[in-house]
Amino acid sequence: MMEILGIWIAAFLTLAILSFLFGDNPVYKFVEHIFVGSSAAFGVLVAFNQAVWPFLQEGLTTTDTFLKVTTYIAMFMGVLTLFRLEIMNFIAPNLTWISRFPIAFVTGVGTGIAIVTSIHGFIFPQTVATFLPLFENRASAVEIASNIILVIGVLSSLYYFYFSMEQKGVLKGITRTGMVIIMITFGAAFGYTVMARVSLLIGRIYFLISDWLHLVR
Amino acid sequence: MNAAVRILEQLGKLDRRLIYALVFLATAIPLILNIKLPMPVSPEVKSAFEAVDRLKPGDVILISTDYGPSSAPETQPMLEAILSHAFKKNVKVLLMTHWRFEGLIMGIEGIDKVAKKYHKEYGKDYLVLGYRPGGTAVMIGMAEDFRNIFSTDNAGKPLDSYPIYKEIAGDDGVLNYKDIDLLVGLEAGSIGNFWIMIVNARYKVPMIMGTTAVITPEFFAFYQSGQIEGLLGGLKGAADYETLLGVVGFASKGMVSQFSVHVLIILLILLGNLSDIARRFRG
Amino acid sequence: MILMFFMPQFANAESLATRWTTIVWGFALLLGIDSLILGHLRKIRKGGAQSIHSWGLIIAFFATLLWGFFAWWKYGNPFAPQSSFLWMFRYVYLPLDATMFALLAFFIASAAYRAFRARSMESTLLLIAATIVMMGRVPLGGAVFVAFFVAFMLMIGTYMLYESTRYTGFDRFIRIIIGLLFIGVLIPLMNPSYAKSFANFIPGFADWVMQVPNTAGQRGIALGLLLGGIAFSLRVLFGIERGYLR
Repeated sequence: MMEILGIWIAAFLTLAILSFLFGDNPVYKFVEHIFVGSSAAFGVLVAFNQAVWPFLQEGLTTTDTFLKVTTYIAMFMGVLTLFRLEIMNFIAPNLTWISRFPIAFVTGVGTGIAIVTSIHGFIFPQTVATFLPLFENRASAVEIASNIILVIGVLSSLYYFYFSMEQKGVLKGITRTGMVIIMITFGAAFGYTVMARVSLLIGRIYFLISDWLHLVR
Repeated sequence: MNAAVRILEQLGKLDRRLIYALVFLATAIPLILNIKLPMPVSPEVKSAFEAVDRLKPGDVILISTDYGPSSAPETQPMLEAILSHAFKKNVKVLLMTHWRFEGLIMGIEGIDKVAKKYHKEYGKDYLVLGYRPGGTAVMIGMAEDFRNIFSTDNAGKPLDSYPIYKEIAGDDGVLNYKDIDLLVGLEAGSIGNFWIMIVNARYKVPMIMGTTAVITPEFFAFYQSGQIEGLLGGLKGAADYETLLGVVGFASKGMVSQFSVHVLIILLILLGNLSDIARRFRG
Repeated sequence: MILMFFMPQFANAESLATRWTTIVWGFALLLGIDSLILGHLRKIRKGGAQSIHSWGLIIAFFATLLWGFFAWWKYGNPFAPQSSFLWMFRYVYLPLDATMFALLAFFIASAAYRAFRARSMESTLLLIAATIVMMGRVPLGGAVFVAFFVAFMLMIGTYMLYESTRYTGFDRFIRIIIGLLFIGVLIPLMNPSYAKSFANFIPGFADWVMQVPNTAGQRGIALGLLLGGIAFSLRVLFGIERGYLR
């Protein structure tokens, strides 16, 4: 029973959103607000259920003093971020700056991770994978050509991205090659983006004709 | 000639609602007719399939469902196909997400459905770790011990209270990346890169990725460099995996609509260009 | 974090820092939600025709929240597989979120029709790459690509032959030759077996496009972005960049 009701509600909401194709209208606007409201509620629930509560529970129950103390410190830092909430304007208007400490900490950890991982996890392995041995035993002509294109492609597109000054002679050739590679890349990206969008529509229409109208099963 | 040019010019001014209607019909009609057509499997999907197929009973995969309803038509079939494959091979499954709560619920819905089909038991054959925010911090924080980040599972109980934990944590009694035989990242955003850049690069966990088509072109660089063993891109990747697995799921059913809308869009682009040429031709 | 990476003895500190980050993030998830709710409460107080939307938002927010906490109390966890709260996600949240993104399929088709013009070499290249990828990734795509190819070559060939009537002498000659060349390319395709192998070639060719030129381009772009990103991160760490604190 709940399932049938749910499917009808879902079908109504789907059609209400699709009605946007005929222009902005009150029905669309209303369900859009419902979406934002329920999304915010999900956010609150998940924050408590998946992040705050499990750690708090661990802090309360653990017998490991070090773990207990460090968890409480982190919790305290978490509470400090809440000084950024708008509600705080009513309670403690001039204390927004307190939230900067935990945010600076989180940003510091994040950027530290980003620097190390982009060098170690991307720049090194990706560079190594670009300069492949050209004439490995039994490499076919296509493979050799592909490896050459790969090297030229990576270097020229990197160059194309980096230098936008006036170019002449050989340099112009490099940027031109870079441009060709980048255009193929963008073309592929466009093709894949179309693919993705169409898949999402297929998902919705499949719901309508299968779960709701039972035209296929 | 002039008449033809004028008609072409007019064809460039189709009403936008007509185009919407065409897109709708091109999607709906093949689905209603329920047509299925074979197509060649892409090599990157084949290697992803083989990576899962190589696993032995009792091996562990960690699946990260980092996507929401907005990309579920692409990634949910991947999740279901990979889970079916894993459960068929009696591989243990851990599920988590570091992206948003939507990933958690999509993952729970998927694993619950497939586990019922294969009669798998929660806590014995699979475990849902849950969601923790923080992205890269979650990944690194799990390195030493998963319990550092996931003190409890989704049901709110300590991880080590489950039989699956004792089985997969090994002799040291600690569950970390060393116990994971394959990581499957189902990603809707570029944060998925960090699985590769951190967990593969630092902790050498073999991984395959299933990505929405929008970000798939980025991930080909990781596939070529061997940092990931396989890649499922968009609905086509999911459909290929279903083909290899020998099942007909949503992805395989949707591919004909995918075809018809692609043809429609290319035709529309050609039409737009023809009319553009015609307009310039006249003046 | 950089130190911790290079010195394994800092691994404990690393676990701690990442754990703290996760906890702080949990609280940060709550940021912004209160301003959203307060903003709409203010709109409701102001009244008017638009306030009905704000009512919808507020009711949806509290209904979801209450149901969630109820399910937490009843099932031990709102996100347990048997929890009735998942109904809310499955039949309200999911269709709304998914359909909003499905709208993009219509918009991308309409935008491609109106704005995708192959006027320069760059955009033509982009269009060709997109066509190969879009056709190489679907069943029957190869056959349709051959059809597109024939139509495209015929079109350009005919156009060139037509153009040649406007010119004289060498200019005319060269246009006739180019036009005939474009049409001439199609002659081998009149043999069905050649046409078939051409069609079968397309999916593999799309794979190649993704694996070689696309990989090269993506890698070039990503390397460029990451080098820039590292410079930015260093600016953050040394306090030159402080936008995030505001």
